[in-house]
Amino acid sequence: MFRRRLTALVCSVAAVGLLATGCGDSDSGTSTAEKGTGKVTFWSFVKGSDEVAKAFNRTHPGIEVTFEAVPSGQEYYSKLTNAVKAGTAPDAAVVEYPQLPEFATQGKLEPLSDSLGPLVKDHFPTSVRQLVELGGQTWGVPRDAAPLMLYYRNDFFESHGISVPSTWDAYRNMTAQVKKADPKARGGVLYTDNPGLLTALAWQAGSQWFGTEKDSWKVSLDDAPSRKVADYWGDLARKDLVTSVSSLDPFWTSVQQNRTVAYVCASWCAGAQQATVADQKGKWSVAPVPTWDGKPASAMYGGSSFVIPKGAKNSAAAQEFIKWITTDPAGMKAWVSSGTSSMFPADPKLLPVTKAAFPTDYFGGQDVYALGSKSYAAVRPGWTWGPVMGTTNTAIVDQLPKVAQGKVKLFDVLTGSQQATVKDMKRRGMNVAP
Amino acid sequence: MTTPSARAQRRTATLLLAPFFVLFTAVTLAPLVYAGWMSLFTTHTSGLGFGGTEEVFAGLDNYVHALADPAFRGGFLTIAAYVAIYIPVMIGGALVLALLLDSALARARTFFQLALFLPHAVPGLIAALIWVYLYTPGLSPVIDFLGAGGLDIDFLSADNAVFSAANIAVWEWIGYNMVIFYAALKAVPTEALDAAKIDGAGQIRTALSIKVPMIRPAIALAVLFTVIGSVQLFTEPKVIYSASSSIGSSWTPNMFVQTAAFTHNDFGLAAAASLLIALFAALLSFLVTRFSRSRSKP
Repeated sequence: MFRRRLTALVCSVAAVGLLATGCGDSDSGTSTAEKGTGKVTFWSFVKGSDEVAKAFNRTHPGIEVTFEAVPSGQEYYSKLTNAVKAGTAPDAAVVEYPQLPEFATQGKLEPLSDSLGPLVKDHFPTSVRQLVELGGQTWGVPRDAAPLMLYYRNDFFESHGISVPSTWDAYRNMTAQVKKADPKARGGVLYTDNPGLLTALAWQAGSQWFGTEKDSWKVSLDDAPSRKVADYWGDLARKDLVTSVSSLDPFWTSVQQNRTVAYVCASWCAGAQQATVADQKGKWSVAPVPTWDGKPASAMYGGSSFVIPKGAKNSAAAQEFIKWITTDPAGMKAWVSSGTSSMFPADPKLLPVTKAAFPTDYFGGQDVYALGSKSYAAVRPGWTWGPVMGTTNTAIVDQLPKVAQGKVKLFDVLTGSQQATVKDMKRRGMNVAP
Repeated sequence: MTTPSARAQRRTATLLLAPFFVLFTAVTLAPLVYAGWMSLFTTHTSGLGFGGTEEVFAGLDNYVHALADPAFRGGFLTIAAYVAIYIPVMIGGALVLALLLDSALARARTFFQLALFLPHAVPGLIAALIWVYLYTPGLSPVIDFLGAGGLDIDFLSADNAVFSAANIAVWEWIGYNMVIFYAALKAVPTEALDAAKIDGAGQIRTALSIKVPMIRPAIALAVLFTVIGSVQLFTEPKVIYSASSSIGSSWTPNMFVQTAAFTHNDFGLAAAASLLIALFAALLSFLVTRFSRSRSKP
């Protein structure tokens, strides 16, 4: 512990004196000798990681990136944590936005303010920057955003005379109309294995589950907008107006079997939809996500950033690599080279790159990216993920199936998670504002 | 050949025992000591938490925290419910099957022995995956079949999960224990059986009054191993949880430990909880041994 502090101290002193040290490569105004070279190990589970590493190696002769595929989900984060502990961490790794603060507060990440910090400030809008800049430091570089959209079966809506809802009130009516038109069909889903969508909907309603005030965290999973959202979706689930699904697999099955004819999802669902349910080509359309007051508002459901884990052996080269895969048009092109991804770049300037790679015929020529772009611009700023999201999410997920069964109220699930979260944060020694 | 001297004998003994003790130290004692050490510390940070973490001595705080956590205590209740279903069904079933195989009526003994043992050859994780497939609505032919008959069962719900988990374990272990019981039955002296026959005892009477009492030590041993195994119940519910989160992430004590370590990053708590589980298992096995010994006394 003491040694780490000492190193940090030496590094900050060195930075003041603008000395070239091994403490981290500052990108601006450095000599070419300081530019990263050598081997970089890269852990990722997101689509296209293999291609992007290959493309980077082709264009950057001085750096050799070795891509290692890792599982997604909790297993991956355990693996990464353990690797940092064991001193075998990769040089670059993917971390989704919700998990980023937890990694940072566990001391598992290299702070990037002096190296990639300016890049993040230059390229990304506030709403996404707030997800990677925490406690006055930059911890990761955003790759993609995941703005919300509404997906619906245009053939079903047309033949039953159902109009596309633009407010949540209208959405409720729509789900009732869908059920009436076809007792087997539903106009939405509630996931019981993952709070991601629910969280995004609370975010869209103006909730801020986490925030910082000076030296304290503010935790408000139970604020008024959250209550509104929880009551609304809990009600839809209880009245059987939306399908409760245990994970993504049964969800796609329900789409294939015409049992789900409308749903709210992020931009990435467009690619997943056309890849998974290819035979419903032309029957799907996208629309802006409904809002509470009819004015544009959105949030993100998913998305990932790239980080340099603490103890990375080649931070300088990893920075080059991360910079290229997140903000360089050629890098962005490599991500979507497989042709089926509807990944939405967090850097708005790269939008034309991904848009050009996405075929529009599945959605009947509709400009999915233009819609995504509007949604991205409407993402409510101010949202931050919490430092113990593992605990927060487990507390929600463990109760969600009971909501589907009508045993528990959705809002009570959030209050329960609020308590578990605050308790865990205090246990770890963090300040929590009352 | 000359008789080896006492010293040489001791050397041979040391040599033969060494591999065991080396492995025992490396994979049991050392981790145990390490877990004990870890359980006394907690990771601490301050303020917003972005200033780094440090390991601070926590004394018995982790133990207190584990014992005070309703999720951890609830895990033991789950185990109790599980054991109450699993042990009678599995041990009873294995015993009945062994007695049937041992009876004069049995045909094709080797075939049935092998067929019943076969599930045990399937690794626990694979078995759990196969069963979860059969439990998952929309995938399972069993659920479709029952649904067609008007019976809607959610095998993965919190209420039914105990049965679902016990069912997997029964399927896995019944053949194994049957083989043990059958081997014990083979060792029952024929004089005793002949004497019973001469006294006019039928097949069932012989089984209940001669065979079962004579293999009681084998049964006691099987119960002991099963109880200890049950306290460590993990694989089956973990796979069930991955299919449906309704049972919760801390349904059994071992799941609690895993969640504490790998979801909450609280290794101190996980270590303390593990040691408490080990302590509980040791206590339980002591009680079972004590109980069965006093029962099997003539």
